[in-house]
Amino acid sequence: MDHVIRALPDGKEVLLSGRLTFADHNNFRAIIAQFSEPGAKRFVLDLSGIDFIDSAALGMVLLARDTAISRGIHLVLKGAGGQVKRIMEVAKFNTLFTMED
Amino acid sequence: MASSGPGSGGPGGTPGTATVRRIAHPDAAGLAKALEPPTTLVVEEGLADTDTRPTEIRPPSSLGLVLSARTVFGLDVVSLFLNAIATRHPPARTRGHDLEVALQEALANAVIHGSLEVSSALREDPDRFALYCQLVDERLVDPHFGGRAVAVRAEWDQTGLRLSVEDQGGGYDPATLGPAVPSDIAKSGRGLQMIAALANAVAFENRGRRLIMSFAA
Repeated sequence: MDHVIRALPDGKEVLLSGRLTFADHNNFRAIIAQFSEPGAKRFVLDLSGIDFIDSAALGMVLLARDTAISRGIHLVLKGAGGQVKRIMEVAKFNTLFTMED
Repeated sequence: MASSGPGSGGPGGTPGTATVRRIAHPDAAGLAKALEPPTTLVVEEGLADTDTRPTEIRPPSSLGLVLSARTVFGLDVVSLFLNAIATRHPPARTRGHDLEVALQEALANAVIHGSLEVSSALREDPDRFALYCQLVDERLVDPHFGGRAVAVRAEWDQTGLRLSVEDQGGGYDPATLGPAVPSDIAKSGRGLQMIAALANAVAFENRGRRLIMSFAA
């Protein structure tokens, strides 16, 4: 998985691409580290470039959620499609996250 | 670098010639090339122990792959292996999504929990995630853990396809697994649940080191 971080007026957006799997722990650590930066109120994970996600990566997205909540950050999942959208629906992510098209 | 030569059909094998390719330091292109027909088994050189290599190769309706946990971690082995199967057995494409998800989950377990012996409990808590990352990174480069073999095998016939994934870790008792349905906010425990939902049958052998997943045609 590759990721690019860009600034938003009220936070940051991370554009993810490729396969999001158990092998991406260091990518997630880098993303979660961004939550500690001052001023971030809203964080968007743009999943539109992700074509596959496994259960370990789902867990890491949930870890990001825990960290965001503890820091008062609104975490948004955006653009999930195909297999990613289906697996997130099965995992009931719509009840845990703000999901945007 | 890859070398090839005839191998044994192994006990119980039907007539046919196994073609074994050995590959050093595989990258995606090298592994894709090594998996091309008529290969029936690809083995990475320099593994800590190759006892796990699948010996019951039954050409032409099977394909085996034995790589280090480190290599499985670093490459998209799922896509490469399933593409190689589909080349030999086009009906596998009809269940391509099921196979992709199930094999991905099985390999993740074989690498992280089986080979590297890192507990998913460390992924449950943001405060312990750094330790999880540290352990995975350290053990991937440790020959004792990262050099362990992970063996994948596919067999197919007109009734369907069977995938097995085996690691060289300490094994475990599948009866001790957590709840069949993890909580919505659990960070782990979904992999085997997903496999069970997608495969028509699942079996464990060798003290949990070998997972066998059957997919009907």
